[in-house]
Amino acid sequence: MREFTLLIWPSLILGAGCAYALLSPGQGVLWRPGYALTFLLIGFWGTHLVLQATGHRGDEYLLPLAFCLTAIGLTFIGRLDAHLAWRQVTWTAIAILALIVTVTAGRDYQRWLQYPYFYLTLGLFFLVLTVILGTRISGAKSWLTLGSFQMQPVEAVKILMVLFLANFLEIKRELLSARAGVAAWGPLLLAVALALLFLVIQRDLGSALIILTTFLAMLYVATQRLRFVLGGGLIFAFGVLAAYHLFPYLRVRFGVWLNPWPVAQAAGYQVVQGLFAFAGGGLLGTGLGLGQPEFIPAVATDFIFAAIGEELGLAGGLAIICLYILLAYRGYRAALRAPDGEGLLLAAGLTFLLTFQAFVIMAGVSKLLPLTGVTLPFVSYGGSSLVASYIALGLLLNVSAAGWNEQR
Amino acid sequence: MNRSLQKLAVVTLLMFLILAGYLGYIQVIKGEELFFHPQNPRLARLESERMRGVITDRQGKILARTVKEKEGLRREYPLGEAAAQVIGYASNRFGSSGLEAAYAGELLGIKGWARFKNLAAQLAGRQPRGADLSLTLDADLQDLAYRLLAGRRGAIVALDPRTGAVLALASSPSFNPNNLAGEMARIAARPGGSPLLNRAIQGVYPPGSTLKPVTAAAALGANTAVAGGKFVCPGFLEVNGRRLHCPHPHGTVDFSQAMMYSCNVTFAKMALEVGGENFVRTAESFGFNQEIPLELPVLPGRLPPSSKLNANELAEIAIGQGEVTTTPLHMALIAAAIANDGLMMRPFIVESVKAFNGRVIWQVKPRVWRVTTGAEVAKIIRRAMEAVVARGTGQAAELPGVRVAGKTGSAQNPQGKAHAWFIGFAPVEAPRAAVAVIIENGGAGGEVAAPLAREVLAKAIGVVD
Ligand SMILES: [Zn+2]
Repeated sequence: MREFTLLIWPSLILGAGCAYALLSPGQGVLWRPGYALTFLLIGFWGTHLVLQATGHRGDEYLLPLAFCLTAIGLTFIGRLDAHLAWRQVTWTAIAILALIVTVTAGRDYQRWLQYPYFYLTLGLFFLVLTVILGTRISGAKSWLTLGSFQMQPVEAVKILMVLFLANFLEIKRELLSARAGVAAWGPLLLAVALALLFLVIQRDLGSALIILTTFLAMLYVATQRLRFVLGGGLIFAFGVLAAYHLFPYLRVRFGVWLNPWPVAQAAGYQVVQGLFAFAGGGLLGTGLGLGQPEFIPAVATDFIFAAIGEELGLAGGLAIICLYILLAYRGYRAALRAPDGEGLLLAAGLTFLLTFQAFVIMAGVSKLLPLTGVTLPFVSYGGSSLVASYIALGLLLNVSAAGWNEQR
Repeated sequence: MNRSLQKLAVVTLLMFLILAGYLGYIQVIKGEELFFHPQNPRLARLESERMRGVITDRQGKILARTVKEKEGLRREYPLGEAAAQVIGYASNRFGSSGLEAAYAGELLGIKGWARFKNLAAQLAGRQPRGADLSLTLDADLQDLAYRLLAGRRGAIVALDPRTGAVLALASSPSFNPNNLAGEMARIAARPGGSPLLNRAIQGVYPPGSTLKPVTAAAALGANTAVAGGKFVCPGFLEVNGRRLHCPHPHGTVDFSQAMMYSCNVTFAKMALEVGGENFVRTAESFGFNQEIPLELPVLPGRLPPSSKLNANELAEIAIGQGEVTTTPLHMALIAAAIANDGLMMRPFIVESVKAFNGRVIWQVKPRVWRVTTGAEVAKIIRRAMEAVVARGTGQAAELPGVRVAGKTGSAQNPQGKAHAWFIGFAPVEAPRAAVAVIIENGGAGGEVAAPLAREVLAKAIGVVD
């Protein structure tokens, strides 16, 4: 019942976004926000009804939280680029379908976790495929193009990695902590190192950072040994140092992060424009449609948070952060209540994956950290990211449902 | 695994809290500064639809205003080249500079509450309008100072030593802000002379002998008996095997005569006597190695820390050569501090910010910036500087019926002829104006800079009563 009530919020946000699109001249014609609204409301409430009908007792906050983020994202994508809005509406529908499939067909997650090496192989296969056949778009060669259709396999790889680790770490965790754990460490480190190597070759540093950090987080949860994380961090630091000397583009990125102003018209352009957007927003923002985030390149994807910061101000930015904190809270709560170690690791890994990615890109566009181009989960424009995020959400719902069943 | 999971949750929360705090920093605390960065493309739209406020001088004479024309809004600068660097410009094509840039928020009416008021005005279909600036500059004095520079590379600064109010801040060569497109093309085609540079605050020069009052303050601060002492100048001083020269042997001189004839040997001796630590501390009390607070960015005066000074370097710095640099504004502040019994006032150009209906939004309160030296020491230096103008190297600054004090300087530099310097103030009994003049590679300060200071002081003491 709680989920039902909470779904009012994303619905209201969507309604407001739709009203804005209808009122602002020239926008509504392009993407018919009225239809989009109806379509998406059916999607939101339909998902709720399906969960109810199938007796799924997952966490009741997770779904409304994700829908809130998506509704805010759609409102801004509609305002930024009407051409993208319909596509994103379609992608949202596909993502919701993927979620429904996950929560119905995959509810018994324990059964699905039994094939760790399959997930690992599939993930690495995707990465190799991207390295060989990938298309380079804005720096990173992380796209596969099929006709007019483009996708980022790395979004799937992240989830496959968590699926692999959840099972592998649960089975081997005694062994990993023991002194004679070489047999367990070997394949684990090899798998992670290969994934990172392929990502660095593609220049997708953001995803490399996210996969590595998620790996370390899950390793820490599984083994409870901080020194593994520190060791991993140290190896990572050496890796970065080596990469810094090997790849000139990394030095440029790093220089831009330290001081973008001398290159404000060149390599630092995007970061500087993002900063201007945040500065223009101030405390309460300019108001939807009254800012000028269109100066920022890639504003609908990587930089959508800067657009939100400009038009909704610090208040809007903090609201987004709060939504992710709540998402993290509910996700970790599901992990704590999971009936088994695999479930715990799966939920913890996915929660960390989603929220850390959100942190990396929000910190990147605001220049708290060096910028790495990844999407803001549930919010940014981009089909692959949206579908992957909703599948991750579905898996989280499944773990929380198992916990609920256990407690009964 | 529950314990480690809880720790991971805390880490996740912490990272978002850091992000939230940082966002508050860049959006609220640093927000305005960032927003008004000249490269922000948002400013262009704002410029095209907002009436910038009016900038006036201390008498209400207009220095910048926006006029409505058929093609849109146009910014007008009645003083033209004379105040181009300090007032600056605001242009869609070329960005903004000077006070137009530093006070863009107030002038465009998007700072504080004005932002919401103007938003309401805009929604009601009225023309939003920014606040007005009232400056401490005197338009006539500014114009005079610029004309005195006569196209030579140099700067003139005039201050009210009692308050720190900047009366004139002229820099030459200059450009005409009323014809920016043409001027920018001219500057691009023929670089050299840097007309966009505000030499008064961004021009860095060795101070030469105009630093001697500071050296005197260090010596007198340690021992006031120096004022009654006798010094022997054989024409050179040997320090660690290296010689520092005077143009000719000055023989036996007292403190006032040393200042009058600008005896290098005596001032180098004084500095060596008090030692590097004392000397640097006094110089820092006069604002060296400090950020000078002003509405516009000022490059700081610099000298090395005493720990890095050997006797040769100290002797050289004591006469304003070697590794000591300063700006014309800073030298005017030093003259003003000696005029004002050792109290250096915080300099300011903007007297008040007024809403377009005349209501005062903000008004400056004069404040002491640095306590440099005691009133007694300042008085001794004032008397010596008066002797400089009455009977010494600065006689070209003499005014009939007014007691003028000053110090000349001819600063050696690698670019060519010496920079001609003069700093001074008047009237000595109750100073109302302090001045610093520099003509780059002009030659002797007493011949080239002092006559300009004379004109500026004459006009300025008429301006401020
Ligand atoms: Zn001498």
